[in-house]
Amino acid sequence: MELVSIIKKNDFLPFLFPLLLILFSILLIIGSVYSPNIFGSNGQVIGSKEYSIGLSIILILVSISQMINIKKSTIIVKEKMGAEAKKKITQTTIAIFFFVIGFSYVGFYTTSIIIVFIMGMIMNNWNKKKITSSITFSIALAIVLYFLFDLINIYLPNTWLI
Amino acid sequence: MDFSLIIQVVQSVFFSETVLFIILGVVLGIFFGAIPGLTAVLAVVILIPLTYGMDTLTGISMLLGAYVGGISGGCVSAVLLGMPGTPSSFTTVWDGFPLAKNGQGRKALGIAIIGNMVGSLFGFLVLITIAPQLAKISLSFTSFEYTLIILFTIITVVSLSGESVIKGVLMSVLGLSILTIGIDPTTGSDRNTFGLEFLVSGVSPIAAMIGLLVVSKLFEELEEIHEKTVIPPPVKGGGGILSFNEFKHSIANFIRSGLIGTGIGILPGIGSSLANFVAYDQTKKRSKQPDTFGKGNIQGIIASETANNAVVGGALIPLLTLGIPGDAITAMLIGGLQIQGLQPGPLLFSEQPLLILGLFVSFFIAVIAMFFLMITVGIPFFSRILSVSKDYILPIVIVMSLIGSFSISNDISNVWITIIFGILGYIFKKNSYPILPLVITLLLGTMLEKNLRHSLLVSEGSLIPFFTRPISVVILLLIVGTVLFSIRKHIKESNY
Repeated sequence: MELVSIIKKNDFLPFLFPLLLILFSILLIIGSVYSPNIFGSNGQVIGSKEYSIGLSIILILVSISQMINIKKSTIIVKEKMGAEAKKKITQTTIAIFFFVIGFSYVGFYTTSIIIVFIMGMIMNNWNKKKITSSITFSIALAIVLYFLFDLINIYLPNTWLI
Repeated sequence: MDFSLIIQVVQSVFFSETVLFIILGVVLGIFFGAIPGLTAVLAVVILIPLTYGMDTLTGISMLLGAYVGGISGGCVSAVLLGMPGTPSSFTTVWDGFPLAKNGQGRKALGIAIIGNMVGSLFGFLVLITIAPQLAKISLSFTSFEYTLIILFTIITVVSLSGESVIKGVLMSVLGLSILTIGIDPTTGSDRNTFGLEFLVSGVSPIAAMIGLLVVSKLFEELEEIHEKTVIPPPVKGGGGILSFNEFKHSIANFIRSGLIGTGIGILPGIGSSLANFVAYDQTKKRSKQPDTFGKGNIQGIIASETANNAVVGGALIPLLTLGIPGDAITAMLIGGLQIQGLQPGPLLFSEQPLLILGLFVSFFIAVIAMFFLMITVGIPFFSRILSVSKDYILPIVIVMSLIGSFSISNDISNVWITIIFGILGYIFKKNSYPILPLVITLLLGTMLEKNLRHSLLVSEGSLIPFFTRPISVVILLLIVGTVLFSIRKHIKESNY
């Protein structure tokens, strides 16, 4: 890792996750209140709602404990990601999103040729010398997967292309 | 049973096409187990329709081969990529991957395979000697015991998963809360869906697990831009797998982990994802060097892989003797038996003794085939293939993981779940929130809820049976012991 960042005691960031969990719990409590409560039989002590609300309350309490814990700690040292790594991860995430959309509507093999090629280029920092090897690999992978999935009966969504 | 009949059955399995189909099952199982996202369950699911045209013994033997191969194959990606190929290889990553990162991938994989074989043979011996007796014990486990044993597993995972217990508890409770979205497992009514149709199917635990363990790891590997490969290429002439001294010091571990794996395997519905945690935890607690665990201690690999393979033999016990599946894969095997017109249970032993004997022989052959295939072909092949550039490995992993998610129920929403949890898993890791408690609660949370609510229904809200039933008391003591051990460890570390 290239850099280390120091998050001081009064910074808000470490509190964000426990806060989000508290919000999530409140949402679940609201959802449970409006969900139908069907008791399977007489004498059922914990119904569907009670279980969900109970868990949400526990989640709120543990989140508060974590926030108190964070408050007590003096500083938090975090590894900081380099700019290049951040760029690769962002680009890969976007590529994966498009892969799923393409997988659902365009076609698995067509999309995988494009996206695997793009991922190869991302990992090589868009080096033009790697275009041939990336495209060869993506086509070869798609062909291998085509025969493999046909052999082992893996089903794919019905799409516009293959 | 007449000894000559036994010889006849053994010969009929060894010298027939059954052996070839067992090997095919093992190879396919290893392949599916080794690729993150494609699990052993999928291997068995794909083979079941093929058994329709086969004779009973051959068909079921092939499925058994896939089962053994699939559970064993999980160690490959756990050791060489740091991504467990199956849930049963979670803890193998902790010590196997650091060894592989140090150029000892072959050694780590070899040790895992030896653990696989020993665990499988252990389970096999228990299966053939005391299966009916053990089945009776498994019947005495009710919802009270199941609730406690799942709770024990969650607490064990929380205690193993990092320095901050609060963070571990937070992630466990988060996992249980996420599972409240969707359909109530007891009444079948909608819960926390907010009227949104896509929330009705809830969160698929396997899809989420693939995201948390595989996709998040992919992002971590992208961060390590200075390393061109996930693991270094294997060192030529890199020494043996396990020295005699190392083997001698591991005997107690093999036996203990084998017992844990078999014991957990006979409990219907639990499965191997528990066994590797419990075995790892027990081995670490008994070690004189617990701090070396998680850094390449071979005992960690041995505990994990021995236990997860011992589950296979254990899970076959309730399946064959009572017709109750020990885990998801044995549930699929019931389908395979039913295709052949057979119903597993006590009557199967009395009406088809030769078939049962044939299955025992096939299981043994599958274990030996798995061992030889992995040692001779698997280790050199996988350690060479998986040490290629990340440019090739990472795209293959992401494509196969997403296909694996889709294949769970041929539903694209599982793929979205995988990606979302992959991103979340990466964020959690960056902020030192352990993801394993989240994974284990997603896998076991529904069973915990069902058993807890059923227990309270049966006892009319009373908690007393949890403290008075003999097996429950034993499990409670284990829970208390684990909690006290964690507190003691935490206090020691704070003082230091």
